[in-house]
Amino acid sequence: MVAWGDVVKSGTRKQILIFGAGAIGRGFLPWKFAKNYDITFIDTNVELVRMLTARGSFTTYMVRDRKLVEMGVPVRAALTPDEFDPRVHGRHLAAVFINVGPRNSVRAAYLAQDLGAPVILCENDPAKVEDARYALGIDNVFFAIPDVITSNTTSPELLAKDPLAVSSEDGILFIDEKGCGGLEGEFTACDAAEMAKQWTAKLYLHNTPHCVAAYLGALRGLTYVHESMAVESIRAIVSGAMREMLATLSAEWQMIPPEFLRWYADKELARFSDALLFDPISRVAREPLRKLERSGRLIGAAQLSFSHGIVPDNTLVGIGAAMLFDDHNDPDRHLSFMRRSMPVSDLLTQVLGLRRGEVLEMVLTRKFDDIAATLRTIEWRGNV
Amino acid sequence: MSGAYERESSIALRAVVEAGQIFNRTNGDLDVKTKGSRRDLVTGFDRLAEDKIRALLTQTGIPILGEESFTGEKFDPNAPNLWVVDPLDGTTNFVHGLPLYCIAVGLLADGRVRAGALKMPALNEVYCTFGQHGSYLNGSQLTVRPAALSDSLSVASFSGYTRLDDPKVRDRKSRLYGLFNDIDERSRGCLRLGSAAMNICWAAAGRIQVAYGIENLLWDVVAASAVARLAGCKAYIHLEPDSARVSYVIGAPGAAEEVRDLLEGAGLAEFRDKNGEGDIR
Repeated sequence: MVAWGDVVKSGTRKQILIFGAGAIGRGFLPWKFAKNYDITFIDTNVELVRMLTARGSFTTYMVRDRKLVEMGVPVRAALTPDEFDPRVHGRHLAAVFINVGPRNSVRAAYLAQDLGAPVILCENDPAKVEDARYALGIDNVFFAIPDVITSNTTSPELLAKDPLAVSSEDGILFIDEKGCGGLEGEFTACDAAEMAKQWTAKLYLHNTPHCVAAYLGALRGLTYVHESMAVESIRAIVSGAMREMLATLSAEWQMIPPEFLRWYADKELARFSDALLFDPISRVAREPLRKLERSGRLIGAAQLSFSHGIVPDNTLVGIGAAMLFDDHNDPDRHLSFMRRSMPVSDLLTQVLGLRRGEVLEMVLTRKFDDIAATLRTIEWRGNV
Repeated sequence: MSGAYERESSIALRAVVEAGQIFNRTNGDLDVKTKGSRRDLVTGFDRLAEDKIRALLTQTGIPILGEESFTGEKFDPNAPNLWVVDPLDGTTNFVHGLPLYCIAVGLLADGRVRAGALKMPALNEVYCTFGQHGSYLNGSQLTVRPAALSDSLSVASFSGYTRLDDPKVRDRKSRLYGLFNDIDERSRGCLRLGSAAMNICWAAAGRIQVAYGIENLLWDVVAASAVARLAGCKAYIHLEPDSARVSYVIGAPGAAEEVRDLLEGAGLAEFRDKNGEGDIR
């Protein structure tokens, strides 16, 4: 570990702060920036922080050309939010990356507001950038899209060598070009139009089918997304959801080249099935209420499909699977409690925010029993 | 469901959701009657809703104390379990077309508020406890932070007396309004909104920092207090012996204690539970 006395020596490398030492924080960002910057992690997981501090480094793996490439990442410091002192830990800073989940991102951004470095949100929600700017009263908050499947864990064999090991695929990091001034590393600076195109593809051609695969796998009691995709009936539903999203995007955004969308869709289906990535279903499926937000990857996607006269039957199955998600360790574990305690229509209107009588509410209310029957055909081990 | 009071939370939630469907009717025939004074109203909806709720709760074998069926008989507030039901809190608001009313089903266990659910049909809001894990508004968890009274919005619930020819009543009214003015001046303002249960729910939701009531009724308070407690509110509740009348202060830590002290200082209530844990004994 670098001693704090070394920080002020001339020629010392600049650093980046990474809030969230999970899948993106440890699994992806070091591949893009560790050659150029020292890395300080801030995470609320006290045990993780303790282990990173004790070991001073961790191993990250990347799938490249069907092989695993290994990299050791030295850790300048690992801190909990309470331990983080911007005057001490925020010096010689090139950028701050925040990847703590959309629900926590603004809170994390508060810690970074006076550091004078660009704050780059790698969250699955571009609205969080505006939320952070408004809450903090600063403009230097920017959106980034990690186009990657990465995990906060890896295979048992690699974990035996290093319990902090994580694995990722070889992805691309898109960053709003306005936040990239002076930043060095491997990323693509994008203008607004390109960011919009990449986000559209990520939201509907990655996020939507990815979580459908996760929720279906969860019902079957599986652990990793690639295991879910190995089940033929699940794969068929996920591929069907992908086709629905392709049709929807082609109708909605004619300026995005269809060949880009098709290429993106094929890439995603291959990624979901990659057995070298150990992407936990619990991670992809976590916080189902967030995944079921009105404007989000499931309900928002289905609404968009309906608006173009496309009935997204497979996406609806994914919505049903998300509504049936039941993990006692999940922050949204109360969803299953509420689902058991009220009629489907009330769950949709009261909890998920649909209006009574709107198309999606009517369709889901009428079809929920059919959806549940479909889910039973994939030999689910869920408990309604 | 296996956690403490999860099953009861689920039943309460189901009951208010089902009863709430009655209020979706729009035929406008409210069948309004007075119960004691022009301010104490009951409608056909109250009775229908309570019947619907009772039909569900009866299956649990737990005794039920419901507003519309209460005839002044003795009940045991310290029973191991007791359902406490208000099929329509805020009837006057409802009759006048104000959307501030709710259906409340709560559970008292060994004299403490434990579980509850409420539905506000016109506002499309459902509040519920989830066992002892927490409480929720439409699926979002409720968390209350401490607040000083000077930074708080407060809300009161007390009866507006109509028998002003009685000097004792006039004196009582004067003290109640004196306290109301005092809290109004010490806070960012004190409101009167016409539904005690809704007031307490809004304290749980952080929209209001402290709700207090004097001479309310037990069924106004139990369900919402359970929700508020699990959101982190302090709940000081005093049940008058051999009656269903309660006084209470429920709200953010800090502000709740300040108002509690004001009520006690004015001689209008005395709270035995000094920790604000929803103990009515």
